[in-house]
Amino acid sequence: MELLIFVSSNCPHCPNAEKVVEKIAPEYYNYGLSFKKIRMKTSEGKELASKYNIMAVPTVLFLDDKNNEIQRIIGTPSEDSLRSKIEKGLGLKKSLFSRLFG
Amino acid sequence: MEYDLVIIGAGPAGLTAAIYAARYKLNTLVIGEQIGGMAAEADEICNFPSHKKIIGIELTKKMREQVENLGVEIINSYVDSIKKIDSQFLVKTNSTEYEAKKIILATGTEKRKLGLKNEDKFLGKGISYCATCDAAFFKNKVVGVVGGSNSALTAALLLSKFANEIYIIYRKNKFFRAEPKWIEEVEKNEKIKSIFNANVIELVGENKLECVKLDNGEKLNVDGLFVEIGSIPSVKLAEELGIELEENHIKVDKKQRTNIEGVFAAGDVTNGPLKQIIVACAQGAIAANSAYEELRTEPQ
Ligand SMILES: Cc1cc2nc3c(=O)[nH]c(=O)nc-3n(C[C@H](O)[C@H](O)[C@H](O)COP(=O)(O)OP(=O)(O)OC[C@H]3O[C@@H](n4cnc5c(N)ncnc54)[C@H](O)[C@@H]3O)c2cc1C
Repeated sequence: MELLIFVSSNCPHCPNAEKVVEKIAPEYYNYGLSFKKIRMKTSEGKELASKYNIMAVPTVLFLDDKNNEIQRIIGTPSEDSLRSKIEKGLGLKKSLFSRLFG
Repeated sequence: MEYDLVIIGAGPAGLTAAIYAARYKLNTLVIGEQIGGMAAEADEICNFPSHKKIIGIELTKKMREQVENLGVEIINSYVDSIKKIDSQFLVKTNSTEYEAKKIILATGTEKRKLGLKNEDKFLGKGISYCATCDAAFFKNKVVGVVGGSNSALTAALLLSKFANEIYIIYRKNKFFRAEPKWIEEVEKNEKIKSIFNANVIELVGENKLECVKLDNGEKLNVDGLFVEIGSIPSVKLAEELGIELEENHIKVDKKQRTNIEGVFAAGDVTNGPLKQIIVACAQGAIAANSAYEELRTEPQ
């Protein structure tokens, strides 16, 4: 599964959202998650925004291995909601934390 | 960790309070969820002295840099609770606790929602509360803006750089709260049409917003709707501390003191008459000065 976070330089909420995703995503790299920041001003950003119908920043998009959208979060996610959505997407039933720490 | 002063909120009020506190050599911490606050959402600020025109995110970045250059730490987090224990305060975020001798609440406001069915469903699929963030997605489209304040009018003006048609939907019969300069610019702009005496009553669409229904019987086909219908003061922490409110804003005196000793408040969250950056900054400065005066004169 891949997470794309769409951001732009004139969005005051984006740095916060980026921070949350940058903190949480690496916890799941071993479970097959990857993460990429997409800047809206780049041609890649414009192309992906139009492909996935992105109409707001920040948006966190969850893609499966075939690049199909699984779900999206609009606005800044809380750490907890991001964790639980990633775990659902990866099919990890129990929270990683409860696995690690019992 | 114990601080002389913990400032909650990192908008213009909190950041200015931090500048003053640092120069008074108070051991100060700022905790704010959105650094820059509401001011960071302003597209063009034309009434802040020293800048003919400045983008909100730029102005607040300068404020933040000034605070950090003075050695004050800004923690990007949400404060869950503040408890008064004797004459000290315990400030809790979801991961850490901080002790403080004095508190400044500079928690500002949150955007008001329409309260309509489908509003959350269409968030990011047509509905937006931040024109600076999302205007560029509506190139050559038709959009509505709900509201009649400065932020509604400036949102419409910003959108006119991208969208083909903009409808301002306002419940009153004319704009009377907004600055005459913004009204003039809206009236001159050929892409913007104003619909007065109307409220949005329904948001219609399949997977995204397609149409809004108004209470005057009109239906507007729109690709987006920007909601700018004012804001609600963030008084949750104040209420929990037992701080006296006036019309849901924190009641302060001339020194920005609240009824709870050791707690000051500044900016849009207070009962001041004008909710603007310069006023928030001024109140932040007064609050820091009052905290300093109390700390200086209190027996250690
Ligand atoms: C679109 C728009 C355009 C504007 N244009 C102008 C303009 O041109 N000129 C002008 O003078 N004014 C303008 N304003 C108004 C201006 O933005 C406000 O008056 C100003 O930002 C108030 O500053 P503040 O510090 O009191 O509050 P805010 O800017 O609202 O900041 C509040 C801070 O508190 C934080 N916070 C709240 N609760 C908590 C909590 N529990 N824990 C941690 N942090 C918390 C927030 O995250 C934020 O950091 C505009 C506003 C908007 C929305």
